[in-house]
Amino acid sequence: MQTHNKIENNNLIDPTTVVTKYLSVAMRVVLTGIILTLVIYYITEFINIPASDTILQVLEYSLFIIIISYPVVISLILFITYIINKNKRGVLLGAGILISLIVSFISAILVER
Amino acid sequence: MNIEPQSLNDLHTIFTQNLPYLIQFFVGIGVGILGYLLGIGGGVLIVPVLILLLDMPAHQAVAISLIVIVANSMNISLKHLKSGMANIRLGLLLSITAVIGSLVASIISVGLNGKTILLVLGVIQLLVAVLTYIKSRATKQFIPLTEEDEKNLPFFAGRYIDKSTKIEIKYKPIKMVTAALTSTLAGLFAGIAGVGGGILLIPTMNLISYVPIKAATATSGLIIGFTAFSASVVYISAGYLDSNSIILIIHILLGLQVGTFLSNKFLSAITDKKLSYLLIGLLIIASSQILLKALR
Repeated sequence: MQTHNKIENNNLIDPTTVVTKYLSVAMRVVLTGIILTLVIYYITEFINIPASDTILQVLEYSLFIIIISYPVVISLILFITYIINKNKRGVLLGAGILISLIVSFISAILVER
Repeated sequence: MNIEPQSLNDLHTIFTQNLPYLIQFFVGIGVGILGYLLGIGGGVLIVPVLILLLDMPAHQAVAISLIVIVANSMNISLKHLKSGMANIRLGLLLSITAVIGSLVASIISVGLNGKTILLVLGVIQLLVAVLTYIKSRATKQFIPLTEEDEKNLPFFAGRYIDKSTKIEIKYKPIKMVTAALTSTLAGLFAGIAGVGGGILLIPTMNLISYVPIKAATATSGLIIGFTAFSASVVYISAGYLDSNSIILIIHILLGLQVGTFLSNKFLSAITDKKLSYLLIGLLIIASSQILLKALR
């Protein structure tokens, strides 16, 4: 699909390139987060470091949020890219997936209640 | 900093306490290999291990598996988007219906008791074994783009360069409505069994829409992230994920990265078929064990 848009118009933003760039950065952050969290986790098994539990929790939850938010971020990127490209069907697809993810989120909150 | 001296007994205790993490690390390696070579999220491997080896409640196992699938989807998507094989538009369309299925299934699933979930899991694992066999034999030819199509590109058309043959493949998927409806079933799988649904999505795209198997595998990597996200938020909200689960997930993710690295470096020569047959064997063993546990 990378070439798909280039054929249509060279001035358009290629959604695939934007998503790939985001994923490259996100994956590097996740990998660094995994290593850092595990290093701190195993150090604290042997040595008592002040506030280590708090540091560990912050790292764990940050990593968790980066991972879990990835589908929302890429649908948002795609939705915005399609709006900029004035691709009507693309905007519909982007909106469709965004709405379904938001509905999932709301339903999850309602299930909790 | 207070350094406490550790005796051999203490080290043994630490090892025993962390054994589940070691098991999860190796499961992660397996999941990384499966994801890289077969384009599936790996839930079919994670859930049985958590339930059978670590004696974890079914709901918690499903919740953990779903989070790992979201992370694995990042990995798989990045690889396939770089190679240009993933069809984003097709992926988005199928994701919409798959997310709906996944949401409905997860809401139903959190209301079920552990034994019922185990029973459903066992049956789904058997079904996945059958689907893996179908997938390994799925070789439908794609519909190439005509000259007319080249001038006015169909919206869901895709193209990529096949690395093995160095030939550019141009295709147009058909029967999009049927494929979208079938992907709802994949979503239902994800919500109940803690799998991404890739094992159902790949044959759906190939056998119904005539998407080349490599493009179907690549696109499925993207869709499983959406389905797993939708189901996981319901499980998280229902309280099936605690801080111990997160550290367990991180160990699986480390294994996943190692598995992906190993596959990329050394396992590219393994054929999809050989790996599929190995997976079928594992699934049959796991499903029979889960069904036995449910019926006990």
